[in-house]
Amino acid sequence: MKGLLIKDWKLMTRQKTTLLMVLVIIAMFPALDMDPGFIVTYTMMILLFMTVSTISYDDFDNGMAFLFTLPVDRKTYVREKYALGLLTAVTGWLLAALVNVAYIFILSEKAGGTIADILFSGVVIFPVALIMWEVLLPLQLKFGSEKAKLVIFIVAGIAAAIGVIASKIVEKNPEQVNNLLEKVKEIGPSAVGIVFFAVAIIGLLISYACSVKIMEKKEY
Amino acid sequence: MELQVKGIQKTYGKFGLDVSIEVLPGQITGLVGKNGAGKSTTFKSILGLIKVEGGEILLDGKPAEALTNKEKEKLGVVLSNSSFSGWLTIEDIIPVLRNMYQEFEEETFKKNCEKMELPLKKPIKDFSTGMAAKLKVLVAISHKAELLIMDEPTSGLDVMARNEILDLLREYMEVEERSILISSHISSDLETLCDDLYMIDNGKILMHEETDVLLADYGVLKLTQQQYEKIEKQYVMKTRKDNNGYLCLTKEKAFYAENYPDVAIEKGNIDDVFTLMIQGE
Repeated sequence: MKGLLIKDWKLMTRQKTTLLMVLVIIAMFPALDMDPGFIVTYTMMILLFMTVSTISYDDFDNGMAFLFTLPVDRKTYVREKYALGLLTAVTGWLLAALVNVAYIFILSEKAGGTIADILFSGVVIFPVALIMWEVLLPLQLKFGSEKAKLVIFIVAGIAAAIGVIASKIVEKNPEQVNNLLEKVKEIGPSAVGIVFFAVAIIGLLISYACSVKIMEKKEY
Repeated sequence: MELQVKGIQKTYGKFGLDVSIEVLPGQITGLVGKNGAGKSTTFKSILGLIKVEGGEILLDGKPAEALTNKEKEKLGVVLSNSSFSGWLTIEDIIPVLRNMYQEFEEETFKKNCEKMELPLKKPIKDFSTGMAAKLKVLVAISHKAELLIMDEPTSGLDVMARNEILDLLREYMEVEERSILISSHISSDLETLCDDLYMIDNGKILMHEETDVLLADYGVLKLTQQQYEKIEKQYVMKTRKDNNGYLCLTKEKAFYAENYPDVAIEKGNIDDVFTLMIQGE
């Protein structure tokens, strides 16, 4: 697995423009005057997408066939992609959060947002980003990069449709929604975070099982 | 290492593969066939890249699908249409190989790359066909594999480069018990390298013969209509009619040379034998 991780690290560092963009965004935290939670999450999402894109690089010129002639079985391959994603997400989040905290200390809270904001992005947005990645990874494995794009469009379309329906429901039933939000507030962000993390972990297990099945069925 | 392929089957529409092959320790076995004959399908089946519908594949007596990653380290593989991601450079793949193969010989690998004039910092996708082919072989022999499985490793190479590769393979075989299964459409490569040959056509093995026997005993009789009518045919394997008369493939060249001194007999070579095996009746 270490060999695969090194390969993917090398592939990711080939995407210099994307990496540079991430660094620029992190460096420009205060100037961007945006929600720090958003920037931390955005950074993490870009890095997560980069890990998924390594699958297309593996597939380039039918390269996947050769990969599986190496001492790598399908399960190890999948496990490595998940390990890579989690490692990158945590590292990316920590890096972005640390820079953010540094800004808070250097430039006062206002410029860099509050530590509470960063924590909020950690407990709520982090697992949400993970869930998106958990959906994306098996799709990419199943359909390859070209078809996966189409599927992602469809999934995104469905998600948007659900969003629209949800907002209509909110519009029509403002009181019930308010009550629900009040209840969430009562539970507190840490409890919400726990729920989100629980969902992300269950999602991770399902996503991993699907990916293993997809890969074991594939022929090259 | 010993490889036994026993009656593996795979169908793609009208194409059906049904192949048995054996590669013995210390031997180089060649697989000859035209494009689409089933060579790559055979290789992919052995490597578990496609699922076979019947038969079994044994490596040193163990089913191939039960091989652990550790045991897979004993294989060195060249595929005709696949390699490391083209976005990587040789410098990138060295640490990958180092971490995948316990027996990776880094210094020898680097030395060979230098000898073959392969650039370490250039993405593989920018390599010429010849350079990419050389790299594939160098990777396959870089980790003391006990069996090399090579699908068209010399394809796209000029004569010089091909000889370099063949020399590397001969050097590789100096260690006892190592073996190679190799396919090529360049018959001279196989004639000088292989101990035995399998001929495959339309998914089936047409013939299996030791290379020495093939070169020494096989021959093509070039016969006029009259000669054809006269000769004994019990040693004729295949016959094809052409504009000048008949071409007959025999495994008993000496018999005809002795008994029919006026018959033109051509020494057997893979191309002739193969062509007659497919086109003859």
